[in-house]
Amino acid sequence: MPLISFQFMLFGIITIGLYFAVPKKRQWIVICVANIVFYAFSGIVYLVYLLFTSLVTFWMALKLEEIAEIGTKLAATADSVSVKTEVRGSILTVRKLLCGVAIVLAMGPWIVLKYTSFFIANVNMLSTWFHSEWQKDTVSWVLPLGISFYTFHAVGYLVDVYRSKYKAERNFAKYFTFLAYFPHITEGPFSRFDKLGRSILEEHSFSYDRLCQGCSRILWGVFKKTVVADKLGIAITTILADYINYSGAYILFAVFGYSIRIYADFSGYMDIVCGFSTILGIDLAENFEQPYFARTIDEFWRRWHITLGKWFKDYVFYPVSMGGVGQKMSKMARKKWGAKMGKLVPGYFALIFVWSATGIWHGAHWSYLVWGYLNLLVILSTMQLSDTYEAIKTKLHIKSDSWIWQMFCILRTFFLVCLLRFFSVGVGLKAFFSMLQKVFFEFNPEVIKNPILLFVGMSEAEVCGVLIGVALMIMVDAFNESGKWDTVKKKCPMVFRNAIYAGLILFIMVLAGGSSDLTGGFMYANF
Amino acid sequence: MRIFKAKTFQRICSLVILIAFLVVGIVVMGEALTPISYATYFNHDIKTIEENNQGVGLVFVGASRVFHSYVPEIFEQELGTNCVVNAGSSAQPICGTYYQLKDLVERLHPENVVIGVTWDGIVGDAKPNQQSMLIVYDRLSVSNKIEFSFTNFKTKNLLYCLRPYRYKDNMSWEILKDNYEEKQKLIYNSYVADRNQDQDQYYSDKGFVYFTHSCKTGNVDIRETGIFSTELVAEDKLDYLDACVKLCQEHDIPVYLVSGMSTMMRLYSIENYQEAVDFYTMYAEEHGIIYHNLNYLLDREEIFPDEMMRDYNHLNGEGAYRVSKIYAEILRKDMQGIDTSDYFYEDLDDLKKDVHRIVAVKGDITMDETDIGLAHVVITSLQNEDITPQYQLEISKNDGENYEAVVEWTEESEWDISVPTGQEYMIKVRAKTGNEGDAEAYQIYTF
Amino acid sequence: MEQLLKIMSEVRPDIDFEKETELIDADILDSFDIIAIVSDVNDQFGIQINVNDLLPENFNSAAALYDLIQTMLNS
Repeated sequence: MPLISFQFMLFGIITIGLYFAVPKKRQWIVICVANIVFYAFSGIVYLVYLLFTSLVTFWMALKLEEIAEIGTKLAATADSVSVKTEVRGSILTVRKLLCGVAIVLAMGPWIVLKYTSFFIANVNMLSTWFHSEWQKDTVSWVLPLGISFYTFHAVGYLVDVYRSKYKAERNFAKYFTFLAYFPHITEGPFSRFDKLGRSILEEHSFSYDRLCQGCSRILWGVFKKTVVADKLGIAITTILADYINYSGAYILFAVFGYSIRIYADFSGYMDIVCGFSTILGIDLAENFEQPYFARTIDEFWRRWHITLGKWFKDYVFYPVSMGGVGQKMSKMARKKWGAKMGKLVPGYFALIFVWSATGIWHGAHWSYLVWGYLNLLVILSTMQLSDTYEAIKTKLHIKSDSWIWQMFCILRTFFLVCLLRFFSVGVGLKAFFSMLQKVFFEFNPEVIKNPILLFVGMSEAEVCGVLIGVALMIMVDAFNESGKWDTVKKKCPMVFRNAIYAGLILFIMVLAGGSSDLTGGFMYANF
Repeated sequence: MRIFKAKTFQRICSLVILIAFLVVGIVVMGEALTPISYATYFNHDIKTIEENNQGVGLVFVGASRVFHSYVPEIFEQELGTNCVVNAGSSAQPICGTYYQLKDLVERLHPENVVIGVTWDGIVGDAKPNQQSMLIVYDRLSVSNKIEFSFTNFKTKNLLYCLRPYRYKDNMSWEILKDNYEEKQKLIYNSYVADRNQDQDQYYSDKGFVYFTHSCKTGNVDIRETGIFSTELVAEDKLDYLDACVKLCQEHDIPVYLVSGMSTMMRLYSIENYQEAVDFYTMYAEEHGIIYHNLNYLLDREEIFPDEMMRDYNHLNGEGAYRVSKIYAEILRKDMQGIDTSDYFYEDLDDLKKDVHRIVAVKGDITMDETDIGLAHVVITSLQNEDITPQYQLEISKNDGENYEAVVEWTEESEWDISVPTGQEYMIKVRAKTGNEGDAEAYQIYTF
Repeated sequence: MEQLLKIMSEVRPDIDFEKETELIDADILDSFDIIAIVSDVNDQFGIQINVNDLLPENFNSAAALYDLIQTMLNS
């Protein structure tokens, strides 16, 4: 069910209505039913995969907890320290093994469905390299809704219970309600059971203030998505699909436009789901923190898709860097290159895993992996060369907190992010270099005299909408960055605020969607 | 408690202000984006009538054959009444007719009502065309707009009721400027429509639209044929017709049913046409009202040749004046209780006795798949059963200046002919009765 | 405690570890800082803090981390 549709609006209103009508103890059941209805719209058959992953992780989490309790009891009754250690060791091994098996089972469907075609394509490529005639047909399987998200939620839950971070949930329906929570199942944010799960299972009273906050946030999200993202997409898709016929100026425009578009699209979606959850009283984690105000790539990744970064940090980075291999590498590095490197190397090692995973999670294609590694390269080089950069800055008498320097860092990071993103577009290496060549050698700046031409295929009104939308987005992000947004909202006169809301609604009404689809436009002026 | 009340008051204020901004925004943007249409003129005329508190003697409702055909001033003269309104609109569905009628009854309190009924408006399960619904919607008062849209529109089409959404494609400075200038001109000219004869059509008066184009006799294309059957009559559509009649009867307004004039081609090409006429005749009898089918006017073959038509289905302006004079007289007599059956043929067979020509001809021309210089032609024509048509084919290679015969007059109706390649050409299909005389019907196809 | 403060200040000289109580919640320490601190603490105190112990309640302040170290030393 697309989020911006009459269907979802009706569905949302009914869910909210029921949620506050039923006794508070049963509120979570409303969510559970809503989850199933929402998921069923994407194809009830896919529910099988979701149920499989949830059952495996639910059951295994309970088992892991049980075994841990048995272990604790046994260890307590043990006579000697050596027996205690042995018991603890065996319990740890058993739990590790079971956890591993469950993770493989839970992630299995996701890996198979998403990456089999990539795997086959690579095998075919190797086969060609080795001059073999053996080729397999690639498959094209439909991915169940949200599989990339709920799989990670389930694995995260399992690992948290394994780590005894919190107690396992004993009621499968309650666990399923968290896992299949419809606002976050399609595009995240990545949530943790102890935060979101608890929030869902708590009782919530209706609050008019939260209703207003939620609605205004949803409105803002819909505006960003329909007026900015979807419209900008027209020009960008046109230019990129046919980049050979466009000069460098257009391609540069598409480079920047793509980054703005994806931010508007993704953050808009987040605003809608977070706004909706706010109405229910459920807190969803934020995924964006004014990402284009980041001063380094590293900082960018702590402001963009925050929950993905946090997930990889907790479940990939720390285990790898603090695990056996990581520690061994640390010792080796300390011997060879000194204490400082000894501390950095396990982190670097872990980052390779993090960025491999980040790349491949975004898409089953080499260009995503390359994009991941390029990001890693930038981050690693920045960290390694941090001293050199500081020295250069001191020599040039640049003050870190001067606003010029800050501006430079922000623009530099934005430009770098835009450039790197081209790999994740899946455009391919050849196209990427060809586009770079055009930007540097075939810029043809005449189009800048009439900038509206850059917005290929867009009407005047759509261009207007995009420009105003982007200006508003920058303004809101700037206020948020300076921490003044809440004050601004509070101090904003009611009349002015409502005028803005009405304005946003009107913009959406006039610009959202394609042309009036009553037989190609609504021209019946002669009747 | 005081704080709660103050907060509630504040919230209500906030909501009211938001709604106010939205309504103002929608109205202003709607006004800016909406181009001038017949609804613009119509709404102005109705408003003027309301403001002047003029009595309205007669209101016509129905689809395109209504607004093409009935000239208000002629009915005003004949019936000696103050004001006649022609509230027909393009492809008006019967549910739209009901709401249009309801709206005008409430606002104008007309003394009489004529409902235009058609053979195809009462059959079939197809949902009404959304555009035609919106045309009616634009002419209703606010309360009727709301009722009409919520009872008859599909949910996803409700958005079209908001004019900024409907006309969002007009969102450009040029179009906004044009709209504004046109509207200023209109207001400056007191909404008097441009009676520019160069235009194909123009809004004439109180809903009547004048069409200038004329068909040529025998040149009406055979198209949009169909079939009528009482089994195909749709329940919900019949319900709406009942509602229209009931509405008038409840308000003590005499109501009349009329089927507007169409081309002879249509009468010949619609299967079971007489059954449709019988259906309405019976319906009228059951409800104690009068029904006339103007297609059956005596001597219509003489009085309403194809030159009185704008296209295959509608009268042009001249035809409208002609039929209005006759129908106004009939209506006056109906109102006085005088029998008017003498004005009409008894039925379709009776009418056909006075038709001595090929009514219309059509050629289905398909290119041969393998040989591009070869075309296959199948000719069909409409005429009485006792007439044996003859056909001829001609080709013009110079844009219709001269034609050369490809096939001479013959009773054959199917041929393979060779056609020019690599250039444009026109094929003329001709038909006539018997061996003498010239073509009575023809069609030209351009390639 | 001083030993711990020394370890932490070596990793991040710009932070006042005696005052801060939201080192994790406010994202003051980043992941590299944490693994560096953990590595040094493990070495110097002879304990084995692992990934299961990386909870905000253990790392939000120097005092909290000190408590964790004490617990591990005693068990």
